[in-house]
This record gives sequence, structure tokens and C-alpha cells, in this order.
Amino acid sequence: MTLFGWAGLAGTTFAAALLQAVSGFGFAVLAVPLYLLLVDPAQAVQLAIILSTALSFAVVSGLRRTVAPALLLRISAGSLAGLPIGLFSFRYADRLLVRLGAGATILAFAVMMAGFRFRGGRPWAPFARTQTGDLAAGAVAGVATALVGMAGRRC
Amino acid sequence: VLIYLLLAGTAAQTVRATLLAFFALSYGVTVASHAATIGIPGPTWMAAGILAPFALLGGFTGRPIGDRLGSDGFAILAIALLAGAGLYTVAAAGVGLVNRQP
Repeated sequence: MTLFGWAGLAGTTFAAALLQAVSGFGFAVLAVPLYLLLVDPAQAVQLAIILSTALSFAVVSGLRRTVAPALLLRISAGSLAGLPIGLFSFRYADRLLVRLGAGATILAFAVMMAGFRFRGGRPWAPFARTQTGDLAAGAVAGVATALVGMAGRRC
Repeated sequence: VLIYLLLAGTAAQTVRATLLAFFALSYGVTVASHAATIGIPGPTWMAAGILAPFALLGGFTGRPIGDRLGSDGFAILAIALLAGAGLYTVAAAGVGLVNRQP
């Protein structure tokens, strides 16, 4: 790889890490499409997951007091439960159609949340968190991880 | 998870820290499963090692910014990221569907 290529990877990594540390997510969202311009797809994905893991462990160590352990436990348990369902569905589902549906759903929620925020001047929070809701959100994340490859933002 | 937590009105700092912990766990499991099944080639580990300082630098630069980000700023950033991710996913899937062989 050329020096220009390495500079591109380093700049992308820094910017994606900054974004994830500020917001809690987004490393893969920014890094993978840009990595794909510089390295092959398999390496791009593996680089993103290795670096995101290292980054998340490093940053969360300073935020331990604000982690909600019970919430983390429930979404992790839900995610583990959803993973086999996603893997099973992966064999039969049309992955492009699933990605299209997932992307359209995310976009629709983003537009609705933005609409409520900018028109009403307050966040759209139509329900309260429950233990069942935490588990269900984790389960959908687990299914989405197996089906379309990314966890946090899908559900 | 992010959409659920935002819709449930969860505090911004809780969402951020809990998501980071969730990613640490879930991506950690994913790295282990890649290593154990399809394998992670040596050059990829080497590239990750070279890029890790840039990731840590970005992380440690971003952490205090995130600490100062209010709930409104966090929500706007999260919504913008979701919209970007949704648009990218729809576009990538659409291109794939258009180029798919019958």
C-alpha cells in the first residue's frame, strides 16, 4: 500500500474513532465505506471490527459510572438470543431486500425523530423503557447482526 | 438499540456509555468468532496494530467532547448518523439489486 493509502486509512480511523467516542456508535458507519476505497472488503470489515473493539474497550473504561449494567445485560442477553434466529433466517432471506428494508426503516425513524424534534421543539419519546423492551431491542439487534452485519443502530 | 433507547427517552450519557459497552462486548465476540472460523490474516492484524494508535487518539480526543455534549446535541448527532446510515444502506442495497444478475 502507498503512503497515501496509509494516510487515508489513518485519517479515516481517527475521524471514525472520534465520532464513536462522542456519540457511542458510528465507527463502522463511517469507517467501512471509506476503508472499502483502500482495501478489499474482507479486510475492511475485519479492520473495522478489530479497531472498534479496541476503541470501545478503551473509551468505555473511562465511562464505567454511566453504563447502565442491567440495561447492558438485558440487551446483550437479547442479542445472544436473537443471533441464532438471524443466522437461521440468513440461509433463506434475500439479503439485499433485507438490507433495503432495514435501511428504509432506519431512515424512516430518523426522519420521524427529526420531524418531531424540529417541529415540536422536544424529543419524540412515545414510550418508557421496560425490561421486556430492553430484551426485545437486544433480540432485534442480534437478528440484524446475523442478517445484515451491524448491531447497535438497527433496532 | 439506539432507536429504542432514543424513543424511550433514555439519558444521553447512559445511551452513549451503554452502547460503547455493548459494542465492546458484541464486537469482541465477533472478532473472536472471525478468528476461530474464517480466520483473520496476519497482514490484517498488522494493519490493525498500525492503525490502533489513531483509533485510540480519536477515542481519547472525542471522549471529553462527548462528555460536554448536551442531550439535544447528542440527539441531533444520533439522528444525523442514523439518517446517514439509513441512506447509505438503502443506496448500497439498491445498487446491488439493480446490478444483480437475473
